[in-house]
Amino acid sequence: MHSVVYLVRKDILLVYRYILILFPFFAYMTFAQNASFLIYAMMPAMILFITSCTIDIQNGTQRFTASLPVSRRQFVLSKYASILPFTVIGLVFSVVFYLCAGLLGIEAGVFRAHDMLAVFGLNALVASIYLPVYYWLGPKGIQTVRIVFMILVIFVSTLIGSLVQNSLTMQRWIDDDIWRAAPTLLTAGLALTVLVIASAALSIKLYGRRDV
Amino acid sequence: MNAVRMESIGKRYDGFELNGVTFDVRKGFITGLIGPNGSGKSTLIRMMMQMVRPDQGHVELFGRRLQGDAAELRGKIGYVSDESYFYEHLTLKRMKNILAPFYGDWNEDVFRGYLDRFELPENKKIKELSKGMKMKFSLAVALSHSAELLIMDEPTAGLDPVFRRELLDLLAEQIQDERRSILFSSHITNDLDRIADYIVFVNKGRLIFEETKDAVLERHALVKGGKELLDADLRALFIGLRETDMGFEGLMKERESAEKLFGGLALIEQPTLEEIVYYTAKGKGERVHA
Repeated sequence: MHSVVYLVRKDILLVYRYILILFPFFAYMTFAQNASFLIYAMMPAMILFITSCTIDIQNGTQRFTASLPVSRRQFVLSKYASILPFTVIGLVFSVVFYLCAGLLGIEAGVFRAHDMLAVFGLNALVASIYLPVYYWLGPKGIQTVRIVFMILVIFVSTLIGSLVQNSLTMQRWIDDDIWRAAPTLLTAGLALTVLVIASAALSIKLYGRRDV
Repeated sequence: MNAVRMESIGKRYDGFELNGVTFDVRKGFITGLIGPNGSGKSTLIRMMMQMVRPDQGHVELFGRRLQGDAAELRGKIGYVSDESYFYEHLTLKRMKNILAPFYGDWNEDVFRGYLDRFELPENKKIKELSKGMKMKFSLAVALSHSAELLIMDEPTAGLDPVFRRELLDLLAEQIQDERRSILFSSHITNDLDRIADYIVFVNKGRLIFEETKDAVLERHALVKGGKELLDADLRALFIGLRETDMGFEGLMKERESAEKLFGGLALIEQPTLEEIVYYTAKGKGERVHA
């Protein structure tokens, strides 16, 4: 268990300096006034997550993690666990910039605390699709996967925006009528949990037999 | 107990195959793994680290057969790769901060001692270091967590002669307490001439021999003589043979046979490891017009 924590810590230290590039991103998004909270919070987390995965696989650095006294299972699980701190970082930045936008009198959309739950869910969804592909393709396909998934993150964020306008459940979410949307959300939550578990099992299987 | 046992190891790649390789890395000794480039040395080492899985055979570390992922055993190993595998954009200090917590026996004082001894600037980024300095950092890490086994894949490649000598002295120091074992792969056989106790020689994915260094050097014979001494039957007895217009030089597996066949007629010398590797890898096909 300690090893997973150390691995997550490693992932954060690896992308530490990339956090700085989030400032211009937020500044642009805030002043462009064309983003929802989902994009504000999802994009940074996904940028950091995908960057940490890329760094971990390129230029022979896979051998570093493979030489540590850590099992491949722990290593894969740490990648899923790292979604949590990266999402928290994204959320913290989003909230700070929302507040700043408010102080500057810039309209940056509506911020609701329960949107954070949606951000966690969406990030877990993207990671659950990304990681098996990442372990399947390995170093050779990593740059392609990286670009495809960044596009996917933008697409998913936009799709959610569209759903907000057209879905009754999402409208209830928007209207803070969470209790009436609860059955649908509970089903979605369970489906996501199953997806994450299946994805992790597949990633462990793929990475477990890969030569590095 | 052996530190490592490789038993009937097989692995197939496109254009290369390891075939039934068996050898031991004995506890308390320095074992040199030699062979030309592409002979399978690095693949064997990566199998010990469980980076590569054998198709056949099995690996034992510290008397335990590796099945599944024996992660905790890697904590007892100090691994030095032929190429830097650290995160290049990080400073040495940050890299150390990342890896130290994984090792329960990490000794910060020892690590700092090696940083000073190797004159490594901890605030410099890894990508800004020379190959030799990266190797020194890798070595400092490998020696700072009380590893029982040091596995070093071509550690002297790209190092200047001064540090190469220092490294060999350092390894000789490490082996003094007889608790540590070292596996040192190299195609620069002069290094192993100096420090190795045992030699494991692989060529084209096959084990050629595994013996004490002294026995290897004493057993083989380098024969130098005139061309007129050779005929087809005698040529067949050489492991490797180099013929010129002036004469021949060839390696024979048994010194006794060499003395019986060529005693008094040709010069019979003890070969170096480099000559053994050269003639074994080249075989009998070498003919030079000189």
